[in-house]
Amino acid sequence: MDNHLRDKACIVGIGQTLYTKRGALHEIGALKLAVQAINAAAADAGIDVADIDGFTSFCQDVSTRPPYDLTMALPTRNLRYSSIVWGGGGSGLPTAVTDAAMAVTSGQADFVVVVRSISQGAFRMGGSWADGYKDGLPLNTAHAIPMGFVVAPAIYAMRARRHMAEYGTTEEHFAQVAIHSREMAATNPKAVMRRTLTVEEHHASRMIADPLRMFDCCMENDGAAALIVTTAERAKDLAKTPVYIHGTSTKSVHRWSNPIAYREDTEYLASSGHAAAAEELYGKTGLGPDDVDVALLYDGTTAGLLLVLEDWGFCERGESGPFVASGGIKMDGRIPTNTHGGNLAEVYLQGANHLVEAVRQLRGEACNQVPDAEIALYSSGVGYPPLGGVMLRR
Amino acid sequence: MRPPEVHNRPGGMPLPNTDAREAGMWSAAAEGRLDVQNCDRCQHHRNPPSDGCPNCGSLDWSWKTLPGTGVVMTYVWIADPTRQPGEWPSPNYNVAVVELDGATGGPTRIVTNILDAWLPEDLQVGQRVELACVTVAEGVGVPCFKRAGRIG
Repeated sequence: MDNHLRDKACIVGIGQTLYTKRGALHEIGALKLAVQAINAAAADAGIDVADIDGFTSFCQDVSTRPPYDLTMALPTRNLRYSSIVWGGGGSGLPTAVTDAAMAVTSGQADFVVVVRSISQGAFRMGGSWADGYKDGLPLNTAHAIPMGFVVAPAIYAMRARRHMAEYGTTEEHFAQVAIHSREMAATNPKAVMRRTLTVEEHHASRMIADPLRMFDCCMENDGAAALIVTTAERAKDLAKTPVYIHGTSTKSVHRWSNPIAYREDTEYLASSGHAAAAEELYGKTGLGPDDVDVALLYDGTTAGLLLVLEDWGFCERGESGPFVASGGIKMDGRIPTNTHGGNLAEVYLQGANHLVEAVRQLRGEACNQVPDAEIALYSSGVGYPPLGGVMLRR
Repeated sequence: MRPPEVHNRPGGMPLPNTDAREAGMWSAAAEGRLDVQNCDRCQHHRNPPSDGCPNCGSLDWSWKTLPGTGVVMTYVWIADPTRQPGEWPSPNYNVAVVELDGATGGPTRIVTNILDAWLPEDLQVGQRVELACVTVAEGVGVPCFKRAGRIG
């Protein structure tokens, strides 16, 4: 399988803002948060922020400020490239990275920043979908909202229930994911939720979309993260050890056009829809799950992380519950996973924070460092296409 | 007690869209039928409605009535914020994904409510269900379901 992007582009800089609970950075706002993260990433890379000449992002919403706003607040010399992923929502990050890599390897731009900034002071990502559609319901949820399918965790809960019925997965298994995420966050000074969690506390938390409880769900946060992508040639002269974009895939499984379980083959109901992306990305890179040293997996919910683990082959289909319960995702397990705490406990930046952690791991700068990590995998979660994965190496 | 006339549906939800692509399903449901889009060229069914056929690409389609039976593939329970404590048999409504019998092509599923399921033990993956439409406005029905005996 051809892999034209293999190691031709690198992530050379990472930047983050303060991460807080929802609304706490409202006064700063999503635009300034994005600028702060971009400045931090440029400083990390050792480049002049004015040399950033391309911008990519994903998940278009009211927090997404376009490059024409960003470049009013940055000393950008030349704006040569900008794009935002068409569709995908929070699953769109692998496409944004692909876009950045394509832009720099084709010479369309020299330094492309991938940025995601969220400020939920004026809107809420975890609220009900039942309100606010004056001009009719959006096509993708028009037949679900009138039935009460109005909270994002229901997307995951549907698949979690199916997984429980097919494979005997339990709420105890979900709890183990949440507990692991909190354990990782406890030693991460950037993390929002650094308090550890017990099974009892998990089970006592409020039911959101049965079988998923509050502590199964990701947080709602304010913050921003940015990553700078350039060519491997330019990367050699910069401040930090380059992290190579070894391959990406943005392919979803057959008939996966909506995460609400409408059309895909029955075998994919209890999945995150990443089996095709995994096959393609492993094929492109010649790697398999055993070659991955650290996995950063989008965790919109605990159950979602279980499904992603299976899709990428870190355990057998249906075995993710026992796999996690036996320590499979811990630092000394088969695949150390979300070593920063993920969307569940570090910050909900829809995977931008996961990619930042992947870079930290491959540089040897992580708070929960996997010894001598060489290969990191990022995967998006249960969601709209384009979804996918990114393989990084040092 | 469970008054038989009470349906387990969520309160405060918006009405369905009633544009040309959508209206046929709701008007059929108001008359007690389950009408689903069917491609005029390849005869594959599809739901939710779309402008073109995801199997063959044809833009020509018709509403076709399905038997109205199916099987629960998965479901969730969600607390209904409009319910007062003790007013209903349960504080929770369900949302179920039902795979429809009689559809041609790939799996054809609907997101719906199982009207007579109130408690966790009332609903399981694999539960057979049958159509039980609920009229929500003049000429606008929604295809809901009730349990139909055996686990299939």
